[in-house]
Amino acid sequence: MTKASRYYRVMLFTLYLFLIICFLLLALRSTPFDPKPIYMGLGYMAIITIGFITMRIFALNGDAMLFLLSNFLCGIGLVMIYRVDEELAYRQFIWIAGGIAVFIVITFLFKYYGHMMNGYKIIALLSLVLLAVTIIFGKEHGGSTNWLMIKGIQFQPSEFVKILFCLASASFLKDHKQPRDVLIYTGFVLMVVLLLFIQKDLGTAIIFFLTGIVFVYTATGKPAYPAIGLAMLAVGAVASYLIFAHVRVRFDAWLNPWLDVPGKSYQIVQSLFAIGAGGLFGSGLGLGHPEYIPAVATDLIFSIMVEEFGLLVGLAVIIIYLLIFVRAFLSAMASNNASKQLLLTGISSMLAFQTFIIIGGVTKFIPLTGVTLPFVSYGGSSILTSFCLLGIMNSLSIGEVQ
Amino acid sequence: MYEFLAGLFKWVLASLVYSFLFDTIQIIRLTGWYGEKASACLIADDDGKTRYELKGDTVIGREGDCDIVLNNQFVSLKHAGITKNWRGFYIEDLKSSNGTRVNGRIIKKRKKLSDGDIIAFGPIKLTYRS
Repeated sequence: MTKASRYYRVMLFTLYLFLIICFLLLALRSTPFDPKPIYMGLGYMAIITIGFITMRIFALNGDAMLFLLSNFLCGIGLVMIYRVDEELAYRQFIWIAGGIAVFIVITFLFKYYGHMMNGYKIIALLSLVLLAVTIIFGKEHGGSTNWLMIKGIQFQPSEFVKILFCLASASFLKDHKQPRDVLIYTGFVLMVVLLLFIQKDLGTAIIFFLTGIVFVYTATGKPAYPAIGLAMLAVGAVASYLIFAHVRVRFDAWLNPWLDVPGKSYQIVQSLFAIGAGGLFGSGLGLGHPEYIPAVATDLIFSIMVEEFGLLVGLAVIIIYLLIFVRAFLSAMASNNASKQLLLTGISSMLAFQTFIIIGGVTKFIPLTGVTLPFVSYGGSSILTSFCLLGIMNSLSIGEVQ
Repeated sequence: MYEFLAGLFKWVLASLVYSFLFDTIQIIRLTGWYGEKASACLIADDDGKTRYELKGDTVIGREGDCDIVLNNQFVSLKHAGITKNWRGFYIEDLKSSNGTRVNGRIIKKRKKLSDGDIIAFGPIKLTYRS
């Protein structure tokens, strides 16, 4: 036990050192010397310290693993966002602070209010209404109509629907496992996917569909359902390729990006150039060229990260994501509580699909669709939702030990 | 100048990232995947087999409702208590008539236990393992 807490301390100090060096470099980058990044780094370290002490003292068995891993991702994201755009970094800092607060509150309180999620009808209805309202009153932003504006605050309802979707699915499928119930559930998933499709938010639609498949398979354990689901996905992909122009653009840019470099495939080509320019060890912080990459603070942040820190750090980031997800899957397998299993697998696969879709997209492994990289990308809705989902995961998995 | 510094520190940053990963894997190796299993136990010295698992707060004594019952006339009804917090397990004497010894010394106030400590309640000796 004492040995593990020594490693926890080493982890924390490694994170401090990483942040200090990064923000010091950012401060030296501008002439004359600009102390603002250092203040931000110190502020972020203070937040991490408070969160770490809270988790170590009050969480069951002092489990701070998910907290540290997610904060490493947030830290590297904050550094990159500061390097790309200073103004965005100040806002991201506030979002991260809020996200950590949400994470801690949910970690400690979710087990007491977990029974509230039994009203799955209300939750499902609420998520459908949120998405429908977005279509009617939404603002267009980067090609997709998925932003709502209330009193000057912009947010993305599809992000918050992720939480509602997971809660509703877990509580419905927990004791509805007959083929008829699966059909009802498929109807719900298809409605969500359709509403997102109308908003032209393809990446998020695919995330919801794949998570739905995982939920059904976890609940029933029959391999026929995922097979049918994947077949439906293939049919839907082909059909939407033939029908919708914006889907065709994405596919064409993926199949051969070199046909229309300044036009359709500008994003993917710039992303590939950035990753290639970085190489294995990167160009060094502040020496890359983020000005050529579109949407560099949000969707394509992984490209600039790989360019400046190198492919090795990019791989380390992927390994950290894997550790978070594998941990959730293992604790789901160790649990014998159906709703806990469903929630843990569903939430971690939702975050995992999101990570896979955007990292696969910027490296041209799959067609590029705009979703955020959880914890790293700029975006208030995304950060808050990711921390909320992680808090539910943490609350469920640390309850498992007893 | 800045190019030199950034080029130098990119190696430092990459190694920091990997040492962070190394520590993560060490913690998983030590504690398992679901966080720390703060398990500890007391092993009876006379036969070396009887194990008392410590979970949270434990009271040791002769009385039947103690968590660890030691049947010996020199052990008080409620002899000692073991409490747990985030730093580890602590032992405290509950005003027993014969006192509690850790490694041969009578304890006056709360004492932190470390692996291999021999705790004596009167004539009965237990070894602490974590």
